[in-house]
Amino acid sequence: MAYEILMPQLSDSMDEGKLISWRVKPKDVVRIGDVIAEVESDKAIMEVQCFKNGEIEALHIKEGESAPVGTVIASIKLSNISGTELNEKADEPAKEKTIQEKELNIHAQRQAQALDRSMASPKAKVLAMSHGLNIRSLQKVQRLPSPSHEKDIVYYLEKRFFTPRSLNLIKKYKLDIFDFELSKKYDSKDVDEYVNKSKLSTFKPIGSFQKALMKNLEKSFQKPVFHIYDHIDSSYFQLYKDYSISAWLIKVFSMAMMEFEGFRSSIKDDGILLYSNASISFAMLGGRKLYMPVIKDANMLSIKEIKHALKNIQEDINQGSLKSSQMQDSTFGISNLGTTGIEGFDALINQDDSAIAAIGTQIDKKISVNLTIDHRLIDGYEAALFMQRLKALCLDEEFFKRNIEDV
Amino acid sequence: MLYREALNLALDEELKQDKNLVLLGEDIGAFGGTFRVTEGLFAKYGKNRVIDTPIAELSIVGNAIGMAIAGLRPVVELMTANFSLLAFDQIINHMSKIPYMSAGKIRLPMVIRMPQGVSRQLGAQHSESYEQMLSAVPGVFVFAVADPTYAYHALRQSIRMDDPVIFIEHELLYNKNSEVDVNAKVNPFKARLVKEGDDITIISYLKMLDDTLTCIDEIEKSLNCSCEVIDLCSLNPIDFQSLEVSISKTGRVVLVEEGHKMGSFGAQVISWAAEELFYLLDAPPLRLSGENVPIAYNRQLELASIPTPQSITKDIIQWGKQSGL
Repeated sequence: MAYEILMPQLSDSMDEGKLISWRVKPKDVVRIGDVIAEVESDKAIMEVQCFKNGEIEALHIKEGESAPVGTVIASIKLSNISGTELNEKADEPAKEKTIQEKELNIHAQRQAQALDRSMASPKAKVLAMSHGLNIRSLQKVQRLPSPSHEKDIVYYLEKRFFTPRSLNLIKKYKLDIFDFELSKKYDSKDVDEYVNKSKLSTFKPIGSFQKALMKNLEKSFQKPVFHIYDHIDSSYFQLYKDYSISAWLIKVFSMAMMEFEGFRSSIKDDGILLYSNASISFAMLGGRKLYMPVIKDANMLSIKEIKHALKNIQEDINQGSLKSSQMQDSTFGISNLGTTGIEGFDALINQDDSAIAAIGTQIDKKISVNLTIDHRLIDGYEAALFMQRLKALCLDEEFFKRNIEDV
Repeated sequence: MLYREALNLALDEELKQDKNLVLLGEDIGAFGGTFRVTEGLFAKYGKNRVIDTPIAELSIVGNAIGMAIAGLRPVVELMTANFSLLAFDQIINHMSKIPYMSAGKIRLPMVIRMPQGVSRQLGAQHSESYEQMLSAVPGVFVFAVADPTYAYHALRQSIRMDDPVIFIEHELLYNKNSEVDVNAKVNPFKARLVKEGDDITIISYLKMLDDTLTCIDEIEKSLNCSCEVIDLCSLNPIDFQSLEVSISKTGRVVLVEEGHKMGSFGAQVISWAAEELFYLLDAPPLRLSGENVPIAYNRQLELASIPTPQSITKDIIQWGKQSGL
């Protein structure tokens, strides 16, 4: 009885193989697991093993020749004698094989028997059957291992019906390949379409930047805070609009901070750190991300310098070159959502700041200012006086004129 | 709380609440029990309720059956499972059958406690496991106790049952220490999910459960998978429902037991899995059991005849590699 050895498919994209070298010649006795040839696929040179015991009858292609996958490359005359007898018959040194090698041989035999019986776990068989796969024929062309398990069948189905890109998408959206009818090959466009059609929510892991931000926010939320709500007059902001409201706010707040040291303090370790100057963290956007860069010693800066500082920081943010050192050592924060038309809101205190001002939009020459204040550093009376001072500064034309003149 | 202290607490509380409850066994009174489970109870409840018996297992169980028929609630301590063989006629021909043969007119509210298994060099006649034989007797519940919390609750509930219970402990577990939640809701018939996992269901009970747990890290690392570990707890009846939930998820089942492989209790579980869950299995079931030899006295041979953490780790990893993991 002759057994035909076919050109195996050694990779997914392999259509034909080049026979590099034969390791056997006709009349040679071969055993299960013996390497009989080396074949070059489109990727690499790989060894071809023999799955039967017997004698080589004929080699059908020559070294250096190519043949399509599935072509007969050699035939074996099968022997009925068992593997061990064959061992003894084949060559003398075989007798000296260690017990371990014999065990390996038995293992190879079992593998071969498994191949004959298309060995697979019950679960794998059920799965293969439900997708019309013939495990035996796939094992013959080495598309499935023997024994096959559930994951081998899944792997085969993945490779057969999905492009690598579409598989990545399936992983990303936490889909199951069995969500798809396995009758055609799917690419990433099909998976996108499926996602859109079934209105799936997407999952995105939290990045390290976002994680740090979330941690800070949670810390802020735990602070014992209270709020003060009031309005400031915006007439002079309008009048001197060579400078943005943001720049003026930083100026005005920094001046008020110099008069109330609670707003220049910060809790550090076991003590309270009091800064001699007013440094303000200011909420700015970069793409969709929120940053709180710090305008340091804002009380020492002219309105023009503040304008420049804001511009430089925005450039740094846009280029992604904002350093962490540029986001430290503030004691007060400002978040201005005025440009969005929002009337008023509350903000969470930034990092170790003592308070934050949430700025709304201008309505009837008034701007809402809501302070969120860390009660451990500032009491209600001091906060009220601070707000009073702020309102007074905004109504003080001399203050605005002086600042313009300074420039 | 120690395993033996949890058992002691359960007995103490039940003795306090039920005047009909009596304990009987060898050296359980003045001496406090071979494994100190009944320590202090003799002084507290007296010789009429904590009864020292002669060394005669057949008579101990026979007396207990009589007490139960007459309306008491006896809890028997047999020094080890090895000696329960002497009482097998009473256990099998009387205890398990009287309620049935009386058409339920006679109930037997009694518990037989006994430790079993390989300890440290106690020799062949003191190292056996007999859960397989005891579970094969219709008419008795069999519980195997691997954990102090389960020990406390399962013993209290066993005592309150109106049917006979065989309560199997393990000689090496008496000094096992862990938190005991006296308020936990424990159903003694339900298997205990000790660790969740996705790829292998490992079922065990008594001492082998602890040995298996020490291997999990290495197995998971080596096979790059996660193991689910289940303490079977009730050996008869078996909580097949919980096992099915787990095996349906993992597709792979391993059973670790100390008894000899031939005719073992675990074979029953594996047979059920093959019969009922065949098409869900993604690997041949694996049963790790003791060797088919009387347990030797020599420590090396003693360890060689039962699964140990080393052999459990090695065998499961090897099996896993051949089974598609």
